[in-house]
Amino acid sequence: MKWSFVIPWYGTHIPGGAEAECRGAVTHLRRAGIDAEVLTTTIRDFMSDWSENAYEPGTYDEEGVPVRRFAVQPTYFDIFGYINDRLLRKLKIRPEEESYFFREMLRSDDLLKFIRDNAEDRLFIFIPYLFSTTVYGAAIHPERSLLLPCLHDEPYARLTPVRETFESCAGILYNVAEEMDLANRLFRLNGKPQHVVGIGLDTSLTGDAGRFREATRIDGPFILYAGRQDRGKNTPLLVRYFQRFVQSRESDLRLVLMGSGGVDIPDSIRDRVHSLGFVPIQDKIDAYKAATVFCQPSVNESFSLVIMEAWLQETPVLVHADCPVTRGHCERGNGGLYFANYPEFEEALSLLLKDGGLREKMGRAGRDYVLANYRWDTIVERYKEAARGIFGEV
Amino acid sequence: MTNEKDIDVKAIMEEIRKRAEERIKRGEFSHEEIRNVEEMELSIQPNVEDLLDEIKELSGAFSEVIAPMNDLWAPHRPVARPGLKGKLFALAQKVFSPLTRVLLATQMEFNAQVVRSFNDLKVYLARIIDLTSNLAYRHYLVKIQREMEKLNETQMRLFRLTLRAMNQNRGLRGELRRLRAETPVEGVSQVLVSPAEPPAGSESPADKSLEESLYLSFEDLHRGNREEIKARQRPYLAYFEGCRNVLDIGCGRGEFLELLRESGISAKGVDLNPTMVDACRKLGLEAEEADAVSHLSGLKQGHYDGIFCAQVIEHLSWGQLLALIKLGHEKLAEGGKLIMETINPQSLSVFCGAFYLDPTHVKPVHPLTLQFACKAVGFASADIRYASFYPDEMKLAEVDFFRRTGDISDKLVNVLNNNVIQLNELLYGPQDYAVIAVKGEARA
Repeated sequence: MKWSFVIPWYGTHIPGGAEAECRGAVTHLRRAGIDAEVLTTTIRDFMSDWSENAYEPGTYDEEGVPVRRFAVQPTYFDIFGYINDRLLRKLKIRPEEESYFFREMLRSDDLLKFIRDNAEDRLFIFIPYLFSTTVYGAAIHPERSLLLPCLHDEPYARLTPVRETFESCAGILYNVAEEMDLANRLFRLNGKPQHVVGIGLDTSLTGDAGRFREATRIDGPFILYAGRQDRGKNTPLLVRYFQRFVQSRESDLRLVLMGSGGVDIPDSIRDRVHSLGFVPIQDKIDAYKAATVFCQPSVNESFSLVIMEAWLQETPVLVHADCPVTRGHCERGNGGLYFANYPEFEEALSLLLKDGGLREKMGRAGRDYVLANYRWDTIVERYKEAARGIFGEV
Repeated sequence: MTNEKDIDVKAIMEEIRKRAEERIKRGEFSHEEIRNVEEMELSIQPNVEDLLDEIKELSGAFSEVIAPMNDLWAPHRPVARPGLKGKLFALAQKVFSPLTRVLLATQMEFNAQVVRSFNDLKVYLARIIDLTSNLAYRHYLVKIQREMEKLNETQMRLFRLTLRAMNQNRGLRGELRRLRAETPVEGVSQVLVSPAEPPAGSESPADKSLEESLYLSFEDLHRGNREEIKARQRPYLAYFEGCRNVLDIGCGRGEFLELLRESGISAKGVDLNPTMVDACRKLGLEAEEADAVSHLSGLKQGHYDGIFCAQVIEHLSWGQLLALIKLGHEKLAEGGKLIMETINPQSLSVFCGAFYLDPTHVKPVHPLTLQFACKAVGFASADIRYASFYPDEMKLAEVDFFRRTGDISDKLVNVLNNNVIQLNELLYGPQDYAVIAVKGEARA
């Protein structure tokens, strides 16, 4: 059986998110002998024009992964934009607008035709849930379609076509248990095969704390944040909490931010906050190793690779209590603490800063958790198990 | 899952929460401070309304406090008391009062000043409330302004959407047809018609061309496709049989011109819209950008032997219509025909759809009015011909007399059916009609 991962855009240049998950899964499934491929469009990526054919349609080999790219047609993107804007502002939209939303978002007739005509002995895995490729694609042969939704609790998840996609597909694969809970709260999925497969990580990378400190000349304890720096990721909250924390005590604690974007740093803490921007992977791993605590303040994570990366370097984490996913990781893995407000942040951070023994234990527990759950060979086995359960073969 | 059995995050978290809560209880973090940290970056706007209420409450309490003070601060009045005791007291007062006055003068002055100050404070407080009320008012103004900006933005977005849709002419038609199938008509017309009519005479050439290409799209959407229109207009061909020079006023995309050409009749079209004229020329049809009145005015009498004018007169004022009929009569040869097709106002349903759907329609013309006007300018005859009948399945259904169930009497069926027929005539009469006016000797 051939496994076709269907995703709106694909490429080795896309660093994170569903795209990286898809790339990892296909690559490792292929290594395990599964005939896996990627079906996608000629769109470059999320940030580009969704009606522009940035690639020639055709079959590509990208680091050993066969990728079929199908041409896109122009859409009335303004209509999509208008509805999207209303959705983001949580305004009510009409049923016909729900269908315009997917129709005018992006359109690849050839991709849909390919799915229609090539279902025999093929399994389709659609990723992520909110794009037209998934909503239209999975409706063609629902009995041969699995979803890898990367579901978030957001207005998009409440659109009727999304519900229909979840309820009609052959099975659903999740990144974490909390995501499965959410899906079952939102949709009627009784009796539908559902599996938490997770996302695999490269567990072989080792960081060097000394190298990081030497390269950056950052001494003493520091909180590390890695990822996009913006409001959606709650980075400003971390900066405010950090400001409040260092204001009220004698402390040489610093805050190191890595990743794209940027937040305003108040003058009073400017000398304690280091924004390093986008850094090469090895530098990032070194930073994880050197960090006293890794903080992930986002409340909207569907998996959070960065806390796994921090744990692999045995660094304890501090996450927001309102994010069920990251909090769930901490509770299951015993590798970190969480906060619901500033006083809890202060207590949790103080505890971690003063108790080196606890930090070490939590770091190790976190690493054990990642190794037990998120090695690629474990993930691949879960995928195969899911396929066997649903289709009787792999 | 982990080897570090001695760590239990849930237990540690319980401790942390407890400690945080205790510190909050001890007042180390007020709720306000917690909120302030959460919202540090946002500019915090106090709720002015709450603030105002609080100040008013305080002011009330303040007045209550001052009231007894003012009461006590009455100027010295001898207090009359009855009986011997009273007399003795009055005597004592007389003797000691000047003395106490001297002794307590400073204290009394101080007391008076305190009361005066409190009374002044009361005035200041009232003034502060006034000012704060104004602040509250301003606060609402700002709020309203923000809402207005949002509204404006939405309107602008709609407008930009319209402009952009108009510019993407080619893909638009198919797309609009697709939309038509799925969108309620009023939704589409909203997108098609620009939100505000510019005042007359202020149109720039760009506005004009937008309006014209917009109308073409509108026609595409609501008038039907070329083949449908040709099928609808084909019955009029017979009236022009044998003609050699026919004018089509408001020729649109040239459907009728094409029908005439197919029948070997030479014809010319005029239309105000250059996009329409271009469309005709591309098909090799003769068409000119002109209004009918000025086109006809320049011609010699009897120039045409037929004039066709479909779905035009509802766009004209009464004066323009009369001028057109008069000129038509002048420029037609003897025996020539003027055919004017328009929406039939005798069918009420057209006012729910056809008539008001087109934003450029001015006024419907009653068939008898049109017939009268033709005869009045000198046409020998003017017949009314109805067109665009509703299919039966769109009308109210009559009871099938022979298949009715046994419990309805013949009489009831007749009454019911007569009512249905009358209603159908009123509601679902023919949607169009044409007056066919013939120049020549009046018929007997």
